[in-house]
Amino acid sequence: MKTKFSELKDHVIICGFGIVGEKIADILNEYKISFIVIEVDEKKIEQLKKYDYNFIEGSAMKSKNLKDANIKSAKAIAVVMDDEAKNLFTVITAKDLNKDIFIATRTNDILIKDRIIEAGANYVVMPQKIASKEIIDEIVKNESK
Amino acid sequence: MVKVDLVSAQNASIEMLLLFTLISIFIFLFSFHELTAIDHNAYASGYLILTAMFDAVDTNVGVINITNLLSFNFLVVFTVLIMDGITKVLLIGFVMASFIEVFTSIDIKARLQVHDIKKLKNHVIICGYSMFSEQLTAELIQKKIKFVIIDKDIIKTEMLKDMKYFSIAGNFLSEEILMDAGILNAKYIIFGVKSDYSNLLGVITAKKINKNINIISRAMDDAAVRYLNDITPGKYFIPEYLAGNEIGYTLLELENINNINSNTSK
Repeated sequence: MKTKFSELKDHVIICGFGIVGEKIADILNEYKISFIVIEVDEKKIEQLKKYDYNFIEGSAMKSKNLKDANIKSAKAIAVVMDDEAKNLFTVITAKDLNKDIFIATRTNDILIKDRIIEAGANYVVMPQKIASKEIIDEIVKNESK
Repeated sequence: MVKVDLVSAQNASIEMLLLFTLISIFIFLFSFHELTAIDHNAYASGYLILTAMFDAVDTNVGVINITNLLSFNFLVVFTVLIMDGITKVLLIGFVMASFIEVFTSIDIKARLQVHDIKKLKNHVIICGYSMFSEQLTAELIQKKIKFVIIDKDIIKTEMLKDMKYFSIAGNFLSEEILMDAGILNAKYIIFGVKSDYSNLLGVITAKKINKNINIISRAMDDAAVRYLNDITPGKYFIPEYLAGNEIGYTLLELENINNINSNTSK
């Protein structure tokens, strides 16, 4: 799976290798889409090494790390850290470095969702909302039985 | 919770004492006005009202001795009566405060709500009010499904009561609280806190009380889902996992759209 980052083109950058980031990486890996993970946590770096995924050790908020991940040639970036502020800063930095990049991110707060979109995100996911929708679907499904 | 109840009881006592003081001032001013209107001078009017208010009427320093106001005997008896009056006021205040404290600790509003909750059938119990539960309640309202929220934080439950939601302040691991939430008649119980341990204990407690209840619980990772499934089958979910799926497949779709576009342009 490891590739020289400068050779990567139309790849996906994943910022944060938490539960969300790991799930995205699994899906992309399964469908053989190239990606790079930017992660700062040492334990998660060990995990990335174990999976043999492309990664950059450092903060996704730093433009240097995004440039190292060859953001200019990337097709999309998933900003999925468990910190609203970090996500917002990374979205702004990413958009600044590549205006055409597709930015997907997560937030827990509906009020922040609009701000992130204004900052340049193309797709914002709210884990709590997806989960509640899933539960309601389950309840409604059982009710109609 | 007890701490908050005591605080509210104290606040209520202070309010009642203030009200009592205001009523006393009002009575004093009103009586003063009335007495001065019927030919009593201001000094005599003040004296008459004070003695009346401190229960000095019909004593030997009453209206009869009003002419000997500056005698030593009068001053002694008057001081004793004032002290007697103050003691009575303090005693009344203390009794009233104690009464209010007991009255508020019963929390009639909450008791009445519990009575209404116990009438519910096939409802949903939500354990823990978080951002996730907030989303969930919005969806439940839309679908017109009745629900009861249990949360430890009394400020949250009071806020929910103001929003006309059924809510109970307390620990959802307590059987008594779950009974108050009408677990015996509930169809679903949802554990949404960010603690696998609490959710796990909640699932065990709920299943112990009502074997037929449908369990839905949040989990933080796959291991927790396995543990929960070992206890009882239910719907267990990791919100972040679902979010990862959503983003992952959106990116795949993006890739597919681009591939279609590049193939058609060739």
